[in-house]
Amino acid sequence: MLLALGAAGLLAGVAQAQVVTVGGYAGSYAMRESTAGNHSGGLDLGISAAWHRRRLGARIDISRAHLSPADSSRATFNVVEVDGRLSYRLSQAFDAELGVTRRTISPSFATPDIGAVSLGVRSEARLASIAGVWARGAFLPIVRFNDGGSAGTSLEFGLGTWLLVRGATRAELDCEVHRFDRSVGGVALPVQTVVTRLGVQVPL
Amino acid sequence: MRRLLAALCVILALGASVARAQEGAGLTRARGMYTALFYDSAIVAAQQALQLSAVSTADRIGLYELLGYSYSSIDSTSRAIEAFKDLIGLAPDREPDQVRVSPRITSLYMVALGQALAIRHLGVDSATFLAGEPHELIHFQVSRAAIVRTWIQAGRVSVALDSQSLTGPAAISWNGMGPSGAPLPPGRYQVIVEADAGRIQIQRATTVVLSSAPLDTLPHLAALPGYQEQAETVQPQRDWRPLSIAASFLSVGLAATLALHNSSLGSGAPAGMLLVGGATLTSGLVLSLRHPAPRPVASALLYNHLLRDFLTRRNEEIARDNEVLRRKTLLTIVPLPVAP
Repeated sequence: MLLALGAAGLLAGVAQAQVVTVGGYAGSYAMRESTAGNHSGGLDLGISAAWHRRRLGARIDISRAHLSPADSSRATFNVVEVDGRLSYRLSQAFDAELGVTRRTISPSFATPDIGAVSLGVRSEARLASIAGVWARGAFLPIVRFNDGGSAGTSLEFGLGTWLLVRGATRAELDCEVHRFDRSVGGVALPVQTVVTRLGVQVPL
Repeated sequence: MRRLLAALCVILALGASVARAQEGAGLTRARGMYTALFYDSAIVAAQQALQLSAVSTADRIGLYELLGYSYSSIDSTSRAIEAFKDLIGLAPDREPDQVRVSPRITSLYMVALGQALAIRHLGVDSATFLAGEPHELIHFQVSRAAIVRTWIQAGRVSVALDSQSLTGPAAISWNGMGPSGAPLPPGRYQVIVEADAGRIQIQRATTVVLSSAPLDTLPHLAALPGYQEQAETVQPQRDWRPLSIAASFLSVGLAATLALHNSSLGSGAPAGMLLVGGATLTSGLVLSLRHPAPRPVASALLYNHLLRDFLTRRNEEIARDNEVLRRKTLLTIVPLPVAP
């Protein structure tokens, strides 16, 4: 439904005013898997692009993180994550979001690749003309792992704040938490990631 | 030699004063006889006085008047009329006093007036008027039907005002303009009225002083009296809304983080979430504590806009009016008093 609305909106409003921003960010990427002791962390670098027109919006994030497991006997690995989201403004403070996530691990099977579809809500409020705060939560009804298993409940939550630093250029600080209650053959192998990022968004 | 000349001058002066005394004495003697009802003697005395070569105009007027009265009193109608006609020729504005003289004298005077051609009671009103706008200034009476021309003259400048056949009272308008179409320059002018009744032509004139001045222009307005501009902004009170919003989002964030906490993974509250929450709270606090920006007042902005707009339009009107006023001249015309 949202995709249909988004497509209709895209076609209808081609000639109208729109806002496009691009940005980059750096931060930390932390992953916990299966047990308390199995966690990895590292530097995360990424770029993003966003588009808004009236009530419609779209955003894509591509990031790459190099993670080092706490268990030094394990090899380091890379995570490439691509997030895409379509949004539709329900009211002045709330947007409905439909998103897809693709997380690819290299080398393969160092930890499972994940593909997911998310349905969520995003709320943003201005603290002043130069600053704002947002929060988003999403339920992931469809989650796939490349090495099998299923996710009973998968949720994600994000909190961020932004500040206008020069003209319409924003500095953003945000943190997102992903929880996948994965189980394989009845055995719980949960996955949790926490991504903290500091970046800038520049309007074009 | 000098003494001889001085004596001669004294003799001449004495002679002149004696002659003047004789003239005055003639009028006085004639009046005395008229008062004593010796009309024939009054007529003789008056005629003898008129025979004198150097009789003054004033005495001549008095003598003709006395002759008219006396002839009227002895029912010598035609002679009375002739005497009155002579009187009208010399002093057209002089009329018998209807209270003191008999109605017969008055009626004979009126008959004489109808026969003689006279321009009477010529006067010019003192007035101030705009050049180009006709103003009724000149008044006179014509005793019988005649072609009457009126003009204003000073040296070579002559402005014809009116030409028409009329009898009785007349009022002539003038717009202050000269022959070139511009207002006449300030100066002394003569208003001349000429009556032409075929064989008889008479003229009367009176002198006027014309002055001109530019019209006062209106000053431009800097403000409308009684209306003042209002403050377009107000200083709002300190607003704790940013802090409350930040606290709300932080609360939601912490609650959501706890909800997402998976105890089997042993992780506590993520440091990143605390970092973002702290930054949000700090932003909210700083923005709440900072001096709030002045807020525009829509009604005051609209009021001031309307006020300035009105002021601009009024000044444009004043400028237009001043442009018209600068092209106009205010003329003042004042008749000079006639010597008695």
